[in-house]
Amino acid sequence: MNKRRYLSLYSLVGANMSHRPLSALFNIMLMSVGVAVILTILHLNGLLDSRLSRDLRGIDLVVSGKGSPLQIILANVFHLDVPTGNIPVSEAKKLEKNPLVRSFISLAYGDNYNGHRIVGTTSDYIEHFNGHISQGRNFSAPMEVIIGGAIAKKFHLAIGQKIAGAHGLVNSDDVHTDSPYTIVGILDQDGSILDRLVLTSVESVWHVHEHLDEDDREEVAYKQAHPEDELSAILIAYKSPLAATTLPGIVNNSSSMQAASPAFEVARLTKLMGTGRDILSVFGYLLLAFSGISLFIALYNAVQERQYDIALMRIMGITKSRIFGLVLFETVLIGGQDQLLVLLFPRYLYVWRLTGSIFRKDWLYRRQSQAY
Amino acid sequence: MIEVKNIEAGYDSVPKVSIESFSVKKSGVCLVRGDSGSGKTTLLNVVAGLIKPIKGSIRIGAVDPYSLRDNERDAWRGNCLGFIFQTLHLVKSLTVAENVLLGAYAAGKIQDREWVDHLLEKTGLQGLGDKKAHEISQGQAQRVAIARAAVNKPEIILADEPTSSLDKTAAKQVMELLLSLAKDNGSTLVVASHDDRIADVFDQVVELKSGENI
Repeated sequence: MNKRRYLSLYSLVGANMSHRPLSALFNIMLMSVGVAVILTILHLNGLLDSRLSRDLRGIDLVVSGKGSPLQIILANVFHLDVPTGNIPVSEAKKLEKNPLVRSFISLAYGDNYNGHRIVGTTSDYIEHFNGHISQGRNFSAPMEVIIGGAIAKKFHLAIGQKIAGAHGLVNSDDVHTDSPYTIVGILDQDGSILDRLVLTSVESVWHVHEHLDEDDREEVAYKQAHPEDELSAILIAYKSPLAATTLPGIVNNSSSMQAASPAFEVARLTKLMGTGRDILSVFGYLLLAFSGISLFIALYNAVQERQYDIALMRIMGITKSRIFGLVLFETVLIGGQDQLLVLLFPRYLYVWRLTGSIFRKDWLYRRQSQAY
Repeated sequence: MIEVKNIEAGYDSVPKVSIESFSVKKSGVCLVRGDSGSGKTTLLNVVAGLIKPIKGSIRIGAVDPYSLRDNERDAWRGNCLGFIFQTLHLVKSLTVAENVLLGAYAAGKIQDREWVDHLLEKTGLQGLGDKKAHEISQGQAQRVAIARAAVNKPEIILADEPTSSLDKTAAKQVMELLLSLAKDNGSTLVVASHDDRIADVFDQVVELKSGENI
């Protein structure tokens, strides 16, 4: 005798869902979208916070030319904005010798490689971000560069290849073909700011720009007014907390330098962005609430639609608790499938695309540069 | 055996049917006859333990269903009763065989597919077990409902207007089927109907008129 259990809680729910596939699919999709939006916002918030804190770690003060402190941070820490101006090397040297300064990293830039900044600095900069060289070595001689892993991957660059920088911080036709760089090392792609930079020595950056374009009147006039070599910015770490109260004042009182505190400016930036984040969060929670209500209504309608089926089963002996279990299981099943979709769809596709567009394509940086 | 004594029953405490007394012996076949609105369905619902009588008593064998707690009454109904509804109420999302098995599932009994196949064969539905309930004809659906009522070999089969929408031949076939299944399983059969064409097959008739047992 065949006594297999043909009907069960699962088969009844399965039969009901497959009998109304569109309705079930709609409920699953609706809940998925609501949860996905919330997760995306939370994920982006977390990603943004962790990125900001990682890129700022160990930098107490950023010194650059006079201008907006927020712009100084965006330009010189995150490389998302144009610099406010340059600072003379002599003044930077004085600052380096200040007893309140523990570490001092020079930055000099003005060119790009296909939109990625060519930054003149020292090996301290790579060490500061815990950069790891995956291939080759660090730059040591003039016109040698080490490139970020993301750039190497994007442009299929390898050790020994020569690349030429273009004048400015966005793609331009003004390429320094007469002063090519040689790639001597490639950094690991680790999600840090180094992924998107071409790093060389400060002297190499100066070398590329030491030949004046006699036809460019503005450049000639600038060089005449500033004959000394210049840096774009300095990243400073304090020796003691006391420096936080005195060093920015010393810098700001100098004739050409402006100090910006990353912690303060990023807090301000986060506050500004916070409004947007809050609006997005509210939108996400609203969507989730509507999805929940919609699911409730759909299930209520489903129960109404099946009231005769349910009444029939009650008459045939099914207890109220088993009927409740049946409806509850269907709800949980829809919720479970929705969670599965949320895990598969947004986490690995949607979030990846979003973060890719924000952090890899540097759209903010380009917009700012164009506006400038 | 069904024993009904001085019952008044209805909805929201408003009496719809009033019956002095009657009884149906074990394995007996009883017709509850009356015009539309005379309370036939109400009486079947009382017997099925679905509507508690306003007054009077009822016993099914040794059991007064209204003395049982809700869960016990549900279990009793699943085990002892088979119900055929006027509107059949097949579950559209299930197959023919699953609709028949639903009776066993609801009562928490073993789902015996061979027994279901036997019932389908006896009701002339062989080969249709895997068809969805919405894919079969009204006549076939009627027979599925009968097979479903018999799946647990119940003590009592209650049928509400099982022949109302059928022609004379089909009505006769359905009644023969019901009587045959009741006899096979030793079930008591109570049919509520206003259909005079089937009256001669019953050994007992309870007439309802204007909600009263005559």
